[in-house]
Amino acid sequence: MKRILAIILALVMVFALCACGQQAASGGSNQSVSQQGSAGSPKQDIADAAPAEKPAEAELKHVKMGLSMQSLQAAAFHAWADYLKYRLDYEAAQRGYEVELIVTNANDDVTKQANDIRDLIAQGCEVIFCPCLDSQAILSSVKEVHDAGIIYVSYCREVSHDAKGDEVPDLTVNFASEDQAYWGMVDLFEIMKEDGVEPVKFIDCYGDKTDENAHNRERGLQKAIKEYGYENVPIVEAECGHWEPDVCGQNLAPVLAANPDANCMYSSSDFLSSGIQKAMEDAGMWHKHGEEGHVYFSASDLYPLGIQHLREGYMDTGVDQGCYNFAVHAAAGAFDLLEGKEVEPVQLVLGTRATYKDIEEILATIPLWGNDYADY
Amino acid sequence: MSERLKRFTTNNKQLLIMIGAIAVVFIILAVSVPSFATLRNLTNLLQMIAPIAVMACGATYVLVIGGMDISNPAVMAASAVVGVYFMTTLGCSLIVGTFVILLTSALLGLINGFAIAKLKMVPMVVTLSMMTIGTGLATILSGVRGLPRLPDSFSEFFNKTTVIIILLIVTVVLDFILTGTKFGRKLYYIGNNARTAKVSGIDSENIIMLTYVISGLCAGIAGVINTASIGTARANMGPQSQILDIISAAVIGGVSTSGGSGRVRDAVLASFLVVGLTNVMNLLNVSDYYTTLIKGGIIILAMGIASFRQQQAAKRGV
Repeated sequence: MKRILAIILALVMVFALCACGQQAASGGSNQSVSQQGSAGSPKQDIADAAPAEKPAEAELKHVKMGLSMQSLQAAAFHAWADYLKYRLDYEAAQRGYEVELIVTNANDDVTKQANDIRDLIAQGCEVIFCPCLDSQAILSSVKEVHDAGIIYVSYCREVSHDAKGDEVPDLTVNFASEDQAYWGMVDLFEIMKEDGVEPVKFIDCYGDKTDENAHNRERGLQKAIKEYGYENVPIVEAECGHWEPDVCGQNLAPVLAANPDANCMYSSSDFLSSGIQKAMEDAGMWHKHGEEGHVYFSASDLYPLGIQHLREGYMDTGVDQGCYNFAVHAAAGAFDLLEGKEVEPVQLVLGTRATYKDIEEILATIPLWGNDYADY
Repeated sequence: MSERLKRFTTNNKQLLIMIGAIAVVFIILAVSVPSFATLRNLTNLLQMIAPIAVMACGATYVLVIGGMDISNPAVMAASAVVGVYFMTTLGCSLIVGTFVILLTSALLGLINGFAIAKLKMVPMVVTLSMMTIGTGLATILSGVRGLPRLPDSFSEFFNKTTVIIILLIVTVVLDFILTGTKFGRKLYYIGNNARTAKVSGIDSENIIMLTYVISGLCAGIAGVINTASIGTARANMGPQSQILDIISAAVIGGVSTSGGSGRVRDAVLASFLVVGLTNVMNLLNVSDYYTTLIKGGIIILAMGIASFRQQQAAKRGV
């Protein structure tokens, strides 16, 4: 019905605008880390969310919720939105609700995200989920949401730690991004130990420096390096713009040329891997595990390309983003808040740890988000 | 009386069509979408439209002289970032910072105008370069972590009511200057035939330069509005895709891309339709994929028809 209405409106606008073309020539809080791994699978949830005997619509409590996406440019962002929809339907079915989720996309425009949130408030949403584009700029929107008596869930992103009073989200569900990097590197160092290889020089593909998650991952990397006593091993950094694979590849190329002896690498996200692969191939340093000249490589997130590189042995370790777990925690927390229950205000989610050795087994047993969105 | 009405209708055909189009869409939406005709949504809509509409005013001036300025969103972001940098990092007052935003935008417009009018550079190339300069400047000043937030008093002063008043003032003043002053008439002369205008003794170079300053200043005003909206300024508050909304608002409002015709008033009304589409699609919960598709399609179709009608009018010698 809405699409038909949208098409009718579009046609009316076209006809209206068609007549318009001519002009006369005159004129911060407690943190908890959830268990790693998957809390379920979207397919199972869809089945569970559809009970055999559907209750009458009148019995269901209708609730409107909004999701203000910062962008839909990456596969993970689609996963965040899709899984949230699945999981909200699941929670709604379990609790006797009927949920309507309105999704907007800010297209990486910080002002549009503020406007989108205003639209969601005007629509009468009772809960607004938001992966914020800018952790500082979003604080005004959080306040506006609270002023309207609406629940704000910071979803897959954290707001600035400067937030105070009404600017603090009711619930934050985010990556355990520091742990992602830490555990990925721990697994990598263990593999290197098994192989009897000592790190000579690290290459660090640093993510977006305006994103808290990139800084958290850097802390995780440093923590692992310190714990294994590699503080004196030189680290060479390649900047990757705003999570831009091509920029990452362009900046990595001269780093590789100047440091051909580097034998260990970390990337803030394997979303950058297409650029990294190109630069490494050009430098003659792209080799599978076990081949001569292999660079030991760990990356966070496990995008489809990351999973492929793990399976092929180009990448040694990685920690999944745990997208489905975000949705599990956010949906349950949102309904709890709606029902007046207490929730843990900050919930950090650690995804599944994987290595080139166990990736096939993991894929067979755990529904990694990257596998759901792979085209292989 | 009927003669006067007829004359009014003939002289304001564009205005009446725009008002009619907006009224039809408004009535359909008010009847079919429960949350549309609420005070909250309508003021949201005006706040959302204001920055684009103000920049469309500037674009109208540039288009009227036969020029082109695609740097508006970048100038808007850069000037806002410079102003917020003064207000936060350098500790200047909010009033000084606001003037810095306006001065920076006017200065960037002046650079555009100087390169185009005095150095005879191609407008598209100059403003494209300014777009990258503006984005670069904003990114550098924003720093790694972004600029801090402004005190709430800034957003409280430039609230929805103030923003709507600013939009009204900018529209009325710029429309009056364009249609009711000697300066405005000179812009139409230049747009119709720059060579003849020069031969007639019009100081084309300085007028063209001033036009780009006005365009830049409009971007600065939009920068103040957007800064108040998010409580700070960022390099990514002026995406390059925004230029499509600005130029299409002007063209759908009847401003000719080849210069010599158009009114600020009609461009502002057209921006209600162009920008309002996003709000409407959000209210209808139409998927973002369809939103961009429908919006792009409508704009291309409307601009194509506008262009066709202008060609037909030119053939008829209207």
